[in-house]
This record gives sequence, structure tokens and C-alpha cells, in this order.
Amino acid sequence: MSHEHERLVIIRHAPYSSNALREGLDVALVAAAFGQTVSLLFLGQGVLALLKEQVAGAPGQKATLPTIDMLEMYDIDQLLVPQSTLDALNLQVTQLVDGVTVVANDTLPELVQRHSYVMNF
Amino acid sequence: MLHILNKPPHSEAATQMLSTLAKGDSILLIEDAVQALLHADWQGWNAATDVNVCVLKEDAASRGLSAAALNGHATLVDMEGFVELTAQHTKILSWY
Amino acid sequence: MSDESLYRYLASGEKILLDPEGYLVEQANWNEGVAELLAEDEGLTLTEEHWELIRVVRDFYARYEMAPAMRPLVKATKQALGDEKGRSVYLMSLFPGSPPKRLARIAGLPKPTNCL
Repeated sequence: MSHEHERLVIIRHAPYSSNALREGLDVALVAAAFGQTVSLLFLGQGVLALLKEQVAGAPGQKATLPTIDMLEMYDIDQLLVPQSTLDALNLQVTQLVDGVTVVANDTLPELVQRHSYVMNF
Repeated sequence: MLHILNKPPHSEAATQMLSTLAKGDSILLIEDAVQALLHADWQGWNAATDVNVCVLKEDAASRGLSAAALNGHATLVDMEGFVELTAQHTKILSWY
Repeated sequence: MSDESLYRYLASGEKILLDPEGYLVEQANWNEGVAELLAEDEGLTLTEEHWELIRVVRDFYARYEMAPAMRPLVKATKQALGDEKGRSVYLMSLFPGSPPKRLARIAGLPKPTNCL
């Protein structure tokens, strides 16, 4: 599988903690809107964006879940989460939205290497 | 791949960076990341046989860590060296 | 862009305010009658085929809280109305120029983000 010219966007910040998550998702959506192939890697706190029981609630801020649900409409279907992230946050994959792919920790170096464009948020 | 870290060596950002390191990568420690000079057992140093670890001289000096740098196995680079590193690598990833 | 003079009212007795790019300032002002006026303002006359697509983007917005760019608009149309209509040429024929923007304007949604 060739990943040349594919983009990897790394999401490392929780919803509402800063606008990093929002910016990361926006970058992914813009790239996808222009026909680029985009994968998302949720590292550490970033995985909190994928919790399926999130409801709108943080005052005055846009909820995250509708945007996560929208990713598939932009053909972004690679939502990657390392096992170590799940372990560190005491999360089960069943608590996350459908379509998440759990990846082994030792695949991360290769994952980052094989994408031509990697962006950290 | 050049990894630029500006958070302390045991921060979440640092740990995440270490989890993605591959053979042949370079690391540049700037700002708070130069505190790694105080931790000889930091995982980043141990990976150093396969990874080129550099420390920004100005940031180490301003934090009083130049001596620590000289005792260790860090490569010190100045601002020009920083620019050179970024020019040498087609992919750069900032961990902040 | 915040220059008040660039805002204008939609041609109707109700004084419905449009932003400089022609989007409703108050989404709550939208109804089917307003949609007809917005379309007219763009030189379009709405047919059932237009309405089908207006419903597609309003459903999209209700679910995802964003107006779709072209690619997801095509996909959503395909899902709702079938392969025949879920094509950019079809959307272009009904909403010439930029279908995502024109549809968002007429459907009373905010400007699509991530869209040229």
C-alpha cells in the first residue's frame, strides 16, 4: 500500500482544551475537500474527541462529535488510535465512535515515516 | 524526519515524540526541551545511536545548562545550525 | 468585512438582513418563502429538483452542524437521492457556479467552511 502524497494529521489535544483539535480537524477537512487522502492519528488526549457519548455542552462552543461523524462524508475513514493511548486513558475501544482502527504502538514510527505530509495538532 | 521538541523531556509531547521515532531521524531540543540535559537516562539519549539529537545552544545557555551539555553526548547547534537542520530534512514535525 | 454598509436587506417587507456575501445574518429568519426570495435574488427559480437539494443540505447541517463543501455535498446527495443525482454536473446544472455556496445561501445556512 503506497502512501505517497497522503496526509497524516496527528490530533493530540482534547476537546475544549484549546483550539488545537478544531484546527487539526479543519486542516483535515480542507485537505479532503480538495481530494487529498487524509488519515487521522489520535494520540494521548486527542482520543477524547472520539468518545461516542459526547453531547453538546461546553458553553458557547461547537460540539466535537458532529464533526467527527462528518469525517466519513469527506471520505476520511482512517481514524487511528494506538493501543498505548487507550491504555493510558483507561479507555476501551467500545467507548469510541464506530470505525476506529486500533494500531500497535510499534507501528507508529513506520506510520509517520510513510506519509509524505505529517502535521501535528 | 526532523522532530522539534519544545516541551520538557518527560512531558506528554516528549513521550509522544519518542513513540514515533524511527532510525535515521533527528531530534532538535529547543526551549523547555533542553532540560533533557539534566536527565542522562532520558529515553531520547538512549535512542541516540540511531537518532541524531541536537540541542539549541542559545536555549541551553539561557537556562544555565551549557555545562551540562558539555558533559553529555548532546550535539550543540546554534541558530545557523537550526536553519541547516531544517534545510536538510524534507519532513519536519513539531512537538509542542 | 464588518463594515455595516456592506450588509443589505433582502427585497421583502420583512427587512431580512443579509451579510456581504449574501448569507442570512439570522438563520432563524429562514422559511420556504425566504428561500424563494433568496433564490430570486440570485436569479434562480426554485423547482422541485432544487428543493430536493435544499433539503439535502439542511439535513446535512442538522446532523453535522456545518454546511457541506462540494465533495461531501455530492456524497450526501448520492445517499439521499441516488447515483443519478449524486454527481457534480447535476448540482452545477441546478446551482451554477459554486453549488455548495449557493445552496447554503438559499437554504439559510452559514457559509460552507473548507470550500473555495
